[in-house]
This record gives sequence, structure tokens and C-alpha cells, in this order.
Amino acid sequence: MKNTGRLLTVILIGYLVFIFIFIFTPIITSIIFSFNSDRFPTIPLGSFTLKWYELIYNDPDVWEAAKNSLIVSVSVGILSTIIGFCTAYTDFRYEFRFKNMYLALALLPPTVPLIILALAMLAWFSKIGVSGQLWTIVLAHTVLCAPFAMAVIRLRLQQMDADLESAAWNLGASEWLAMKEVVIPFALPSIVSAMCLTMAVSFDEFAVAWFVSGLNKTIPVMILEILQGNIDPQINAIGTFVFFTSMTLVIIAQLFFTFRSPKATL
Amino acid sequence: MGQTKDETRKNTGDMSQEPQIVFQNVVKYFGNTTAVEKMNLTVKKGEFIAIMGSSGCGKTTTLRMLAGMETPSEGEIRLNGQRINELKPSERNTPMVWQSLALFPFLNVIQNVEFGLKMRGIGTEERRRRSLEWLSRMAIEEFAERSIDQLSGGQRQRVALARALVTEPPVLLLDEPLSALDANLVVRMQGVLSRLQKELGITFVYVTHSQSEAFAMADRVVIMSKGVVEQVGSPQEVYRKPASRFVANFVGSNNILNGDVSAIDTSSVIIETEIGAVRANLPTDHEYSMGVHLGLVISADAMDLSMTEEQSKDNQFRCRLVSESFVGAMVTMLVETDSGIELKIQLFQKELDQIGFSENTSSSGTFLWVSWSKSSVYILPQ
Amino acid sequence: MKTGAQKGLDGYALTWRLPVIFWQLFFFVGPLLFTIAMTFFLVKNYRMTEAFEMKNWVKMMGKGYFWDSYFLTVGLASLSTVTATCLAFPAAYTLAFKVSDNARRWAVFFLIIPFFTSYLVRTFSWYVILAESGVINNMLSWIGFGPYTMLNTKFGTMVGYMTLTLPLVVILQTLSLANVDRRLIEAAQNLGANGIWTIVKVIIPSAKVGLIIGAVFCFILSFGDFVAPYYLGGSKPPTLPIMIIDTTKSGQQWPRAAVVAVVMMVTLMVVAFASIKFAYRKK
Repeated sequence: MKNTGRLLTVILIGYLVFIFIFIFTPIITSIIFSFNSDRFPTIPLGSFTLKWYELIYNDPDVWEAAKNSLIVSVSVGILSTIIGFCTAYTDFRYEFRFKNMYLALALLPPTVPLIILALAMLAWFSKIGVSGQLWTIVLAHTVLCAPFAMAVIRLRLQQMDADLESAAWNLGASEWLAMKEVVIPFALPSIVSAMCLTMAVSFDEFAVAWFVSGLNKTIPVMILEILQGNIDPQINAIGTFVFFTSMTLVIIAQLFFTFRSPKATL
Repeated sequence: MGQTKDETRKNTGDMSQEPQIVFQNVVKYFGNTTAVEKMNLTVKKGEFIAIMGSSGCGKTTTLRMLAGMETPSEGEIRLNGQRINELKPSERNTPMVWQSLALFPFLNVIQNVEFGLKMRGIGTEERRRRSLEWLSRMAIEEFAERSIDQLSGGQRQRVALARALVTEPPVLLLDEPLSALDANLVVRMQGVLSRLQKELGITFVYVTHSQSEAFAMADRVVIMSKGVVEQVGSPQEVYRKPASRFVANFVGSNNILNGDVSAIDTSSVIIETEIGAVRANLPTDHEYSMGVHLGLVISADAMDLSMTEEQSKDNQFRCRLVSESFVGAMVTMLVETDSGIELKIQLFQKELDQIGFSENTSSSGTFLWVSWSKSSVYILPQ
Repeated sequence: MKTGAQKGLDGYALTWRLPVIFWQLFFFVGPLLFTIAMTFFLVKNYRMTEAFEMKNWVKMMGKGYFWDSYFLTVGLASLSTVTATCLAFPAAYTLAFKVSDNARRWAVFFLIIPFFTSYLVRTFSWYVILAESGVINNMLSWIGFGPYTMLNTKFGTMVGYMTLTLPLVVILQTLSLANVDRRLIEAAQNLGANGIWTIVKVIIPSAKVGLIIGAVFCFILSFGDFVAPYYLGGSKPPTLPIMIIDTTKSGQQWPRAAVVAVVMMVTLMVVAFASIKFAYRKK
């Protein structure tokens, strides 16, 4: 009986490892193939090369796209973190009528398929006459990212002693001062975390960006367009660069998120 | 709306007749529930007042109204003669020591203490000097640069006190500040608080559910129940002369009996209670007549015990021991009268030795005789 | 206590409350409502003109290939949901019950990473791995199998969907399973229930809401994804998202794309509401 239990556990853990392999295989192969000389990479591997990196390094289009991506994701990170913070604080501090509707409005966007949002944004922006601009991607991505920021910051505020803000007022701080001196310092790790996460989301988003960007391609849009053409190992090089950027952001986010709040991850 | 601190101070001087804190017909509703009902209370400058009651009695709401975290629904609260109902928390100088302490976890010890001064726009150097002064006063200056989570419970308590007092407020509010500490520390902190209050000569408003804390420190005690003030008085008064059955019950170590007046003579009244006839002093301004129903309070420490029946006792009843418990030199015994009513008795161990009471006699189920003088019977107001 | 010092709305409260309202009304609700309105617009000479006509609806609803796509998409998303739920459950069960808290935290940490990394690049990797002369077929040929056609098949589409949804489903299932009251499980085992019986009768019902939420998210993601069916599934016949792209990008027929989008929204709402109703249904 005990032996079957142990065998079962071993099988289950083996299965878990299999699932993780499935999840991480595409990430790892992409990194490996980015250093592989074959035009169509397969097993056995060709020789080690940096030519794909050289290729993208010397491609002005890649630089242009990277610049666009950077502008967009930083702006989205800042904007959606500000909006997410406001919403999280409102939820933390206030009770009011229609609060459920308020929260639904704030949190629903990620449940709408991106392709639908992409079409809706494209139509809406051309209706109000701002289509095809780089910053319209920022507007659209902020809609998507603010709920993530809200969730991360809200979890942190949950850990704040409800008396802390009152204590600041009690010691002579106005509400604004208490915000600056107590609430924001307390939430700071989650603010950094939210900023990194929203930047990562924006940095990887392609459907909405593809629809509304016009001629201002971001990196993911560029990848999408390369994909539509022929097999091109450049993608692996770009992809590796994208992976490391996003992963760095996500890891920083998680480090800050768990900072002084070990319970927060689970 | 915002009066500066100096103006507030001046008011104190001009209006020395006015009590420092006045609650006038203060009512507080939360939705449909009434948290505080028609509260009237005046607190003199320099008084140590404790507000007591079980959870949900409105004591914390009262304190929060003083601090401005809640606004009264009706009535008026005055501080130094000035109506403060509409003042924001930050516009009053009524610092509070919180039950959770509410120390800022992202600031170190001295930054916590400096906080109130910083909010009042006081310069860096003076801020630092005054905070250090308070830290040394609380004997924790060596921890000035420590972070909060490196401190023990007692040290945090002192930081919270220093943080609240550094602005030299006229009033300090304390919301069950000792409830998280262990028993030894509580006694020590009680000493610290009492001494501090006397030295500073400022008003302390102390909310607690603990009778021992309140009685040990307070000049006056306010007992609340379900939003209503049941009694205001010195610990002695509350203890010896509870104004209501609730207070008598709440104060704890009391025996409460009920009965009808069966005889009245010039100096005493006899009440037929559930344990038998109890003789009590007749109050001078009494309006009792035969058959009137009365509640009697006899405090546990007013009772005597003997192993045999004795003559010339005002009240004496035969009992059987139910249980006993020792706290230091004090013994609390639960005995049962022949009529099956339990009485609580508090004696010193010494007294027990004198009457020849021992573990053996108690376990053998022998009878004990409980007695008390008629002057120690307190008749509850009708 | 959430009651602050001030009741009602002052400038301070509004400062925090309003940004999200304005932003989402203007850039989320606005676009979606406009999309609904757009389904009634007309396209004349390659220009969209505002109107209130049923033409787009009639045209789209009347086409067989639209319904083919519709049922294909619903079918694929359902298959994806069932597959992901079944594949994820043993993994989530292991994470919830068979490993230490610390290991579980690390696992969730790693499962979050792919969620924030480029889905496109991962899809491209699968393209290379699954291709006729790709990694898997090459490896199989060493032992004398294959080659198998995996790209441009439903299998390819599923691999893509799993890449997109599996990490999220595992996380959601793990969280809901980890919250199942251990005492319930012990009680069941004390009463002599064996492993499978405990899972079916105790664990799954207790974690039902979380499991269903995981499934709903999987459905939404798969239903709206165009990358997997396009690059790994061959896009013939197109799913609804691919149809939106084709109609918008090449045909300039935004109103007809809007019809597809609205049909998708309605479908998703029905699925989501029905599932939530089912999740919270009393026994």
C-alpha cells in the first residue's frame, strides 16, 4: 500500500516535469537555435554562430522597432501603474454604491479577446481621428495593463495595517501628505512590480499593436510580419532578446512582489 | 477651520475653567446601528481617564471621534473649549497610541518618532533633537536607527509612545495599547504610563477592556455598555458603589443577590434573598418599603471565612467549597450555600492559615462559614 | 474599518476614483460599443459610412463558411479547454498535495514567466520543432519512424493552444486545489475512501469554482487566439479570429469583421455566464 503510494507520487512528479518541459521547450529551443548556423534549424545542430545577432544588429528596422517598443512599454508601464494604483487604493479605502460595477469596469479588459479589442480600437481610433500613431498603442495597451497593475498593488495594500493611514493623519498629516509619506512608501515594492509586469505585457503584445500601429511597428509586430513570410532564424535572435527582456522584467517584478511579503506569491 | 497649535494653546490659558474635553449629547450611528448613544462626559486637564467595556460597547468609537477618525452624528465634542466635530484628524493635536501600534514599517525608529514633527513642518535638526530626547526619555535611544521589526514588543510600545508624545500634545489617546503584551510587560508598562502621565501633566484617555489596567492607572473610569455610559467615577466608586447591575457584573469580583425587603428598623434593612435573609445598613435617604425588590452587591474581598459558626455576625451562611485558585498571595474561592447559590470569596493566604483552613479540610467536604458585615452590603440603585 | 474621516466625495477621493472610470469608458467601453454600432454601418466605394442597416448581419449569417468557421472555432476552443483541463489536473494535483510549499511557490513562479513572454516566438519554436523535417521528425527517423505531419493539423493547433493556456490553467487549478480544506480529505480517507474516490468525491467538488474558472479562461484565450490556428493549424478553414483579420486587413470590410467580433463576444458571454452559474450552483 505504502509502496504504491510512493510509486504514484513518483509518477505524478514525473508527469509534472513533463508538463514543465512542454512549457519551456519552445523557450529553450528558440534560444539554442538563435546560435545555430542552419537556415532551417533541426537536429543535429549546425555550428555555433552569432550571424543572426549580427544580422538584426545591423538592421535599422529592428532598431526602429526596438525603439518603438521601448517607448510604448515604458509609457504603458507608467500610465497603467498610475491608473492601477488609483483603482487599488480606491478599492482598499472606500466603500460606495456601485462599487461592484466600478471594479468590473476596472478589471474586465483582460477577459476580452485581444483580436476583438484590436478591431474595436482600430475602428474607434480612426473614428476619433487618431489612428496610425505610435501613442495610440499606448492608449490601447494601458486599457489592457491597468487591471494587472491594479491586482498587484491591491494585494500589497491588503497587507497594510488599516490603521497606518489613520495614524499618519493622527500625527498631523493631511490626506495628501499621508498618501505621499505612508501609502506610497508602503506600496512601493508593488508599484515597481506592477510597472515591470505591465511593461512586460505591453512589450509582448502583438494583436492590438498590429492593428492600431499603422506604420510604427513594435518588435512583436515585426516578428508577426516575419512569421508571415518565410522561415527566418532571425526570429530566434529577436525572440531571445525579447525573452530576456520580458523575463528580466518579470523576475524583477516577482522579486519586488515577494519583497517583505513572502506570503504574497501564494 | 484650521487653528494653529499656538492659538489652541492660548485658548487653554484663557478658558482654564472649561474642562479639557467635553462630550455633549454625542451620538454616533453606523447605518442603522447606534455605536454611541447620548454621551455626556467631561474630562479635566491632566486627568487619566479610562474608558472600559467589552468589545462593541462604543469605547473605541468614542476614542476615534476624539481623534477625528469618526464624526459624531449628533451632539458636540469640545477640546479646550473649541468645537472639534468638523476638524480633520490632522487639524487636532490628539495623537493616539494604537492597539496595533501602527508604526510605519518602512521607517526606522527615529523616523517614526520624527513623523509628527515632520508633518508640522519642523526643520530637520530640531526634529532630530526632539525625537532623540524622547527616545532617551523612553530609554530606547540606542535603537534609534533600528528598523521596527528588529524591536521587541515592549520596545515598539515605547516607540509608539514617543511618536505620539513628541509633539507635546495636550491630550494623549490610547487604544488598548497593552493588549498585545505578555502579563509581566503589561505591569511594567502600566508603571511607565502612570509615571509619564504624572510627569507630563497632560490628559490621558485610555480605552481598554481590562479592569486591572483601568483600575491600576486611571483617576476616573467610564464604564460603557452597548453605546451607553453606565457609570463614571473613581475606581473606588465603581468598585464599591456600582451604579447599575451591569457595572456590578462587569467589575467582576462581586457577588450579586436579589430579594425583597422583609423588615426595616432604624439602622438596618433585611432582605429575603435566594440564600436567605441578608442584613444591610439602611441608607439615610432610603425610600424602601416592605416587599420592595432590591439588588445587593457584596464584593468578594469583603467576605470572611471561618471553620465554625460564630456569634454576633451580621450575616453568616453555611457553605461547601467548590473550587479555589491561587494568584500570588490571594486566594479566590468559589463556595456553594445550602440553597445552592455560588458565592465568590477573596482572601489572603495568610488569613486562611489563621483560621486553620488547609487542603485536607477542604477536600473532605467539611462545612465552611461565610460571613460579612452589614456595612459591606451595597444596595444597587433601583 | 473603511470609514475615513470624511464622508461623501471630496477632491481627494475623486482623484483616485476617476482615472480608471474615464480611461476605461473612453478607451474600452467606447471602442466596444462602437464595434457594435459598426455592425450596422455600410461600406461604399471602400469607405465606411455610418448607417443603420442589417446588411452585414444578413450577409454574414447567410454564409455557410461563416457557420463552418463558427463551429470550428467553438469546437477547437472546447477541445482545447478539455485538453488543458485534463492535462493540467494531475500537475496541479501534484503541486497542491505532493510537494512542499516552497517547491509550489517556485513552480508557480516559473509558470508565471511564460505568461509574460512572447507567445509569437514560442509559436515559431513549435513551428520549427513540429515541421516535416523538424526536430521531432528527425529524432523519430533515427529510430525508424515518421515523418509525421504535425503542422497544419488540429494537433498543431492544440500544441499552440496549450502553449498559450496551459501555464495559466495549471496555476489556477493549483491555487484552488491548495485551498481545499485538508481536513475534508483526511476525513474522506479515514472513512475508507481510496485515492481516486477522494479526488472525485471530495477534492474536485471542493475546488470546483477554481477549476471552472481555469477552464473558462482557457476557453476565452483559445477562442480568441489567431496565432495557433494560423501558424500551426494551417488556417484552413479559418477560425473566427482569422476571419476578423482577413476581413479587416485585406478586405477593408470593418463592419463585417465587427459582426464576427460581436458574435464572438456574445458566445463568450454565454459561455462565461453559464459556467459561473454552473460553478456556483447548489447541489
